[in-house]
Amino acid sequence: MTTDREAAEVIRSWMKEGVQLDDAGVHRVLARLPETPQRRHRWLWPFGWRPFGRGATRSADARTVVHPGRTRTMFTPIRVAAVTAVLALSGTLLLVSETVEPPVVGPVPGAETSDVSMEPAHYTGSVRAWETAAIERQVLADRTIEQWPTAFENSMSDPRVDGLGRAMDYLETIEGPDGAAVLSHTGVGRVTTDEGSWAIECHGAGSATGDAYIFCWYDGEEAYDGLTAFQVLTRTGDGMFDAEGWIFPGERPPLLDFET
Amino acid sequence: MDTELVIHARNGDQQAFATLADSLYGRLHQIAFRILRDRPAAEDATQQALLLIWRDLPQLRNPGRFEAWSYRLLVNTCNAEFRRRRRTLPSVGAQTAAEPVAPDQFGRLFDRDQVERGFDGLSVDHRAVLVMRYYLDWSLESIADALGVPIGTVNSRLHRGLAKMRAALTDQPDAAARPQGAVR
Repeated sequence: MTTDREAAEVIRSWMKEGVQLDDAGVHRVLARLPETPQRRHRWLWPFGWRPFGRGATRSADARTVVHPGRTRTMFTPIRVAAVTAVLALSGTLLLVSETVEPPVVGPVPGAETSDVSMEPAHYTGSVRAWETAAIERQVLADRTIEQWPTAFENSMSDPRVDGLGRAMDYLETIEGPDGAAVLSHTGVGRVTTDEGSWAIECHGAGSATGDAYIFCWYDGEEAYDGLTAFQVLTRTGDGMFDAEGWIFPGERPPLLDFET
Repeated sequence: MDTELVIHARNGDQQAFATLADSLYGRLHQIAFRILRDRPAAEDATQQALLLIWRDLPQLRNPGRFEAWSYRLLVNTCNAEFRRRRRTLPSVGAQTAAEPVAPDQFGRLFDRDQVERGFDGLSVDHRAVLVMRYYLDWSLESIADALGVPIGTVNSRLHRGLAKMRAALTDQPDAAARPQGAVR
C-alpha cells in the first residue's frame, strides 16, 4: 500500500535527481530575437485582441495600422453593428419595461433604484483588464483561434455591477486578403461584488485600428437573483473600456419572432 | 529576478533580455525536462517559451511577476510540444535506463520504470503541478498564480496526479521485497 505521502516522497526524490542538460540552446533563441518582433499592443478586454495580419504594419505610436489603399472606414460595419445593437437593446429594454410582468424581486443590497426596481436602471463606468496569456492557440491558414483567461475590474456607478471579474474568452482573428485583421470574440465568466455575483456572457468584434465593441449579458445570482443586466463596452485604450449598461428585473428578453 | 532588467527587456532592449535569458534558460530547461521527460522535446519547448516571453513581454504590466509568468508560458509550450510530438512520434516519455530511484524515507525502493510509467500517464497540466510542487517546492497559491488557475484546480490536479502515481507504484510487485539493485 502506498500512501499519498509516500508517493509524494518518491516523486520528490525522483524529480530532484540531478540531470545534465545542454543549455547552449539559449544562444539559438537570442540569435532569433532580431526576427521576432515584440507585441506592443493589446487591444483587449476582455479579450486579448491582437493583430495577426501578416501584411499589417503598425506605426510606432500605434493606434493606426497602415494598409496601402485602406482606411479606417473599412471598419464602419463594426460601428454600424454596434450602434444597431445598442438601438435594438434600447428598444428591447423599453419593451421589457412596458410589457413584461416582472417577477417579485426583493430589495437588492446596494441598489440605487430599489424604489423603482421595475424600471431598467441605467449605469455607466469603465472596465480595466489585467494582462493575461493565451493558454491555447491554434494558428490556421487564414485565422488564429486563441483561448484567454482574463481578469478585470468593473468601476461602475451602480454598486451592483461594481466589482471584480474573471472570464474565459475565445478570440478568432481572421486575416483579410489585404492583411487586415478582423477580430471576433465570445466569452463567459463571473463578476463578483460585495453583495453577490453575476454569471456573464460576452460577445464582441474589433478591428485592426484598435476599435472594439463588446456586449455582455449579466445573469444575477445570490443577492441579484432575478435580475439581468446588459452592458456595452467601447474600447478606449490598452485594457481599458468605457461601459454603459442597464439592470432590469426578470430574465433576458426572448428573441423576437420576425415571422409575425 | 532583476525587475530593472525586465523593464528594459519589456521596452525592447535585446541586451537586457539576453541577460535575463541567460539566467532563466537553465531553470526553464530543467522544468521542461521534468514535465516532458524527453530531452529534445524539453529543449524545443524551452526555446519556444523563451521566444514567446520575448514577444509577449510588453504585455506584462507587473515586472515583479516576470518569473511566474514565464513558467506559465513554459507550461503552454510544453503542452504544445507534447501534443506535436505525440502526433508525429511514436512516444514521448522517459528515455532513461531503468534504475532504482533513491530509497525514500520509508526505506522503500521503487522501480524507476514504475515512477516514470505513472508520470507518463499524466497530462502535461497534471505533470506541471507535480513539478512545481515537488521539484520547485512551491506552495499551492504560488502554483495557482503561475498557472493562472484557481487554487481549487491546483488542488484537484495535485490530488489526481498523486492518485495516479500511487496507483502506478502499487501496480507492481513490491520493489522493497526484491534485493536492492535487482529491480526488474
